[in-house]
Amino acid sequence: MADANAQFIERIMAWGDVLDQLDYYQLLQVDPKASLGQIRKAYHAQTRLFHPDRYFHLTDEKIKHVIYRISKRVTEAYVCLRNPAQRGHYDVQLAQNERGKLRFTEESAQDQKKEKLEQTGKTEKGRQLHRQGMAEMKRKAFEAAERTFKMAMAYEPDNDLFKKLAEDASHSIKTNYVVK
Amino acid sequence: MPDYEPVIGIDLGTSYSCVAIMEEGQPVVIPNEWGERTQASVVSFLEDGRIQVGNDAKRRLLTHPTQTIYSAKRLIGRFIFSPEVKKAQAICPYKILEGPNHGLRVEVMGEELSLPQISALVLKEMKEIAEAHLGVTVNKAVITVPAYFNDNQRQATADAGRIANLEVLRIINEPTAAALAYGFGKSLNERVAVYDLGGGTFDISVMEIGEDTFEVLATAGDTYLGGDDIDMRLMDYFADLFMRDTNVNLRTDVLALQRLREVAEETKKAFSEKKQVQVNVPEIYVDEKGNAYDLTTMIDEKTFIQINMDLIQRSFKVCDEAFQSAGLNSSDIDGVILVGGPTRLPLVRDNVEHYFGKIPLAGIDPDEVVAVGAAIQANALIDVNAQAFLLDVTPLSLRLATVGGYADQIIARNTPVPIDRTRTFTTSRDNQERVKIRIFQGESNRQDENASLGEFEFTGFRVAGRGEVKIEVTFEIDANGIVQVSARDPETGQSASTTVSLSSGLSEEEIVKTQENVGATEIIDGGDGEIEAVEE
Repeated sequence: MADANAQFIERIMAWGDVLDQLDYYQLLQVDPKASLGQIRKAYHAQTRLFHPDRYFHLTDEKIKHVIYRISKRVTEAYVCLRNPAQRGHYDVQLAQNERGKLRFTEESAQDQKKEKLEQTGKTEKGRQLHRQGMAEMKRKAFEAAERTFKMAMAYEPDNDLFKKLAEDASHSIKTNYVVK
Repeated sequence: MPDYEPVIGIDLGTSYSCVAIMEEGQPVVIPNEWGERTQASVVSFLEDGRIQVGNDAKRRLLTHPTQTIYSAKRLIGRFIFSPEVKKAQAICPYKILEGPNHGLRVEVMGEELSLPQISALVLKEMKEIAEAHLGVTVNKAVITVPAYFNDNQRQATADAGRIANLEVLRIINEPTAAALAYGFGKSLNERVAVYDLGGGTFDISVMEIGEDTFEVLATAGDTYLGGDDIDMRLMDYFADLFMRDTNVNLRTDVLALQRLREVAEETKKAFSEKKQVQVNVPEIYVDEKGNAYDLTTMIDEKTFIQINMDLIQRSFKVCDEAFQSAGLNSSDIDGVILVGGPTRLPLVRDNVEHYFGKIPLAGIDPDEVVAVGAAIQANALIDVNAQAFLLDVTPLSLRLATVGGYADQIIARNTPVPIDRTRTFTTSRDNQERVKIRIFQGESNRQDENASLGEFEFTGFRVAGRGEVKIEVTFEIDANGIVQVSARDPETGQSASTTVSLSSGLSEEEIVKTQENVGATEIIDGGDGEIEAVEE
């Protein structure tokens, strides 16, 4: 292949070295404000460059492995950024740049949701009971949590979240068991 | 002659297989010595130990039903308790038995054979047809599978290739191969739907072709829907008719069933061109007194459509699913590519045209297009000047077993591959030495409603108090759609060693020896080392 020369391979290896330091926008080489169309176009362009099939004929397994790693990460970037909800979570994650996390994980989305939940409740008492209930859930004190969420519902009868949490707690009482 | 060794493309079909290769920049289908361009995926075992494969073997279905194996692809990579297997056991004249780990074996003349071994015989035949044509040995191939095949079925197909002494460079999806055959070298910018109704499976892929990139936007399928089902509907129709006229149940007679199957397939094929078909099977049944009964009837297209309409409608439900996944409507496409013999039927073509609002693309041979695509991909891998980049997706969600019989999604369906995801686990007991995870593929959050891919056990990490050791598990789906799982200790960076069990596949030993009764995969006793996800 014409561009699989030493210089190009050097460039690829350099990408491999810094792979964990690149965020998804850098991986796709697009602006953080890029439109969905631009992101797709960039994905195709990066794919042409890093598609493992393009280097199938190379015999150096080390280079091939690096290319494979890059191509997987490029795909991961595309999967996240093409989904508006995930992209939103990812942007928040980047802005906080918590512990330098540059890869999107379901857990980080859940963390953000959790944070949001922790601020939930229209009344002071509701919020307090909500916090207490969440702590009980975490301790796996599901019966206590169920009582607490039901109490919270007394203060905020229209709060769907409290209702759902009470149901969750009740469900957990039924399904939670310890594996010996 | 190119300076690299030849790589063939093989479409390993449920009913028929086809082999192709690139010659001087053009893909060509390689016919067998009789000029036949597709070979029946049938393997027949002779009394003298010889094995016949292909169209000759298919002729033996009638005369040697118990030693002639057909439709192996419907069974490959499945477990004994799958509904497809139950169905096959009821209608196939050959014996289907339970193998190790709830896998399958077929019994032929007292010998037990795995499904990959049967498929390997078909692949070997395709390899030999190519070798006879090329005059050189062929060691490498690209093999196609239905897009909707799960990991077990893909692994088993790859195993079959290895048993046939073929280095399988890549497993690619049949609809993707078809799109490649259609769009390669044309610099198209089109969105196409590939409607692939094969002998045993149905796939729909919505794809975007952008010059040399072939991106699958979404795929969906039904591995229980194909031309065979149309044959079965016709068999039922004929059997009911015969029952009504003669009060004889042909379903209990193995030989009569085989003849019914044959006439059903012929009748179906005839409807590609005819409006009505005359059916005539002399002496299909002979009673104890020696009275012979014939099956004679005329069936018109209206009846044919009537008895099969719901099957075709099922395919459009699957299409709806794919379009929904892609965020598109059925009318948002530029063209429809038809793949598979049954798509020659007006019953299928007319309904496809109606569903997509477009006349399917002409000039594509539905029987050969997949093998042609496989040959193009094979060539693109080894020829540095040929460029075709397939961007495929995983058809099924990858899931991890959690407490209470639930299965947690790790990689969603229609995610582009190759891709990996990492999850962190922690030990739940003091001095725990093993961590076990079970993984599944499917769309249910209940374990038992998904296909089990196996149990992975990790050892070799640090041993310490509960919760002190973290294990980072990476789930990867490679370009073949095959799942790889690995684990490491993020603190020390040391990889854990992995044992796979409870998987339907063949062990390394079994493949190398190509023999049965090698009990290499032992089931690890459950109970210890239950794991839980670490909260960030």
